[in-house]
Amino acid sequence: MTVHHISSSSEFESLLSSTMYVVSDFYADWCGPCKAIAPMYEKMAESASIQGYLAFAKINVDNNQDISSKYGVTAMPTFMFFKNGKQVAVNGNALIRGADAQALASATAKLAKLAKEKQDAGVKVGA
Amino acid sequence: MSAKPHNKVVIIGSGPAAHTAAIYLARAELKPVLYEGMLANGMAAGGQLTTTTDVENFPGFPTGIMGPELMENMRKQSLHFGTEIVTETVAKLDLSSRPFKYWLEWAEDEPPRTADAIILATGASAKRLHLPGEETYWQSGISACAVCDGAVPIFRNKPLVVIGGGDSAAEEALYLTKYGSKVYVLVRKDKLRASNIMANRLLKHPKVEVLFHTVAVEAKGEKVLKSLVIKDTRDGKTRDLEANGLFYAIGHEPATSLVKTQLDVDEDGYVVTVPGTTETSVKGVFAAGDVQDKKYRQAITSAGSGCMAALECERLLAEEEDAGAPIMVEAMKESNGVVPESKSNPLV
Repeated sequence: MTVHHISSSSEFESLLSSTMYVVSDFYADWCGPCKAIAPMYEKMAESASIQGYLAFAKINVDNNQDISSKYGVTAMPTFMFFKNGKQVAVNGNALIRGADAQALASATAKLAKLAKEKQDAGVKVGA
Repeated sequence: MSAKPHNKVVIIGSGPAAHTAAIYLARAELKPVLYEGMLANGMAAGGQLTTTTDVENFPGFPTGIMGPELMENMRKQSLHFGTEIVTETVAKLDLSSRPFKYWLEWAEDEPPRTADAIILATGASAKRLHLPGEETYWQSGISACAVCDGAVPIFRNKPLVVIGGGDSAAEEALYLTKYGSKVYVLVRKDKLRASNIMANRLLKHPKVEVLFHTVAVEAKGEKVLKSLVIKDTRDGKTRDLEANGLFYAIGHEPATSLVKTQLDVDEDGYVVTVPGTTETSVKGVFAAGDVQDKKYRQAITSAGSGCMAALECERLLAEEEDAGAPIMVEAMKESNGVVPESKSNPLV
């Protein structure tokens, strides 16, 4: 599974409602730090995604002003985490602002573990 | 990690100085290893040019080139000629004896890596004012990078402020006119420092208003930045200026945290080099680009000093080799009898 490139708010909503945990990367094309962390984000998506349980989204802020406004993005990149459609804090961070590779790696590792546990226990999205 | 534990020459940096040095050293078959850093100094590999848009004064590009693209090209050229590029950050350097020792971020407890010579091209980063309120609204309206953050919704059709009077202030302000309703430029003095071409573009732009004799004294807001308190430097009167975005373009500070206690730096923190050369106060350490240049600070002057550093480094290593490689003897002593690996680099 790879990164979901979001092109509309309905697409994002449908990903949030069909997947228990979603990590989202709000970025811009001309943002250097966004580019720097992109390969790592791709790798995490490839290794940790679980259909229905953990997905990775990329949201281009220039093209998706509605989504970025709704979630109050104020700097780039910003990483946010969602559980059953609601924004949640991971490791005490409501969100990660800036390309903080360490914080992102540990937040993602935690979600990957939780997603796996939920999948093994047969818990369905929304439950 | 693919780089060998010992290399003849290691370059620290990722901008025009670092890559120009790498191209020259690679073509001289010195197998340079370049640590471009993983967001070292808070900046993407490629350095300050990754935070710019059009570069119109780098020769060879008749209609200009985008800063990030210029850096991608330089990086490709370094690789093409055999530079080994490592996307990790050097966290610690020991320049007290040769070979020099260095440690990478997140691996500071591991045995050091070593190099006979080091080219320091760590560059500089944008200065901040540290106004009251700045910490509160940092990245919530106050940004270090207009090009990175310009597109966020809180800046759309809102008044924005750039502080500074030089070319980078002009560039940032003009870039922000794409997003903001109005862009104020606060200039402490009575004139812009920017080049004529940039100053004229700025003064002519219908969305831009340049406020001379003006400084910011405080950042205010609710959850995000809403206004600035600004002061007229002539009469000291203050007033509120509505502002949803604040961008600094007030100069740079050199990135010398790795070395500033180990080699000579000047009163502003820039690495001191012997005039007309890139030699630092430590033999075998050469400094190039913005880390040693507070006067010109251009992509092209950085590239020029990167070339100088490579040629000087090459000459030093050749002289030492002729004199019977005293460095290797020291290396063997240093590393508890473990002889540094010296088989050829499989990547080249």
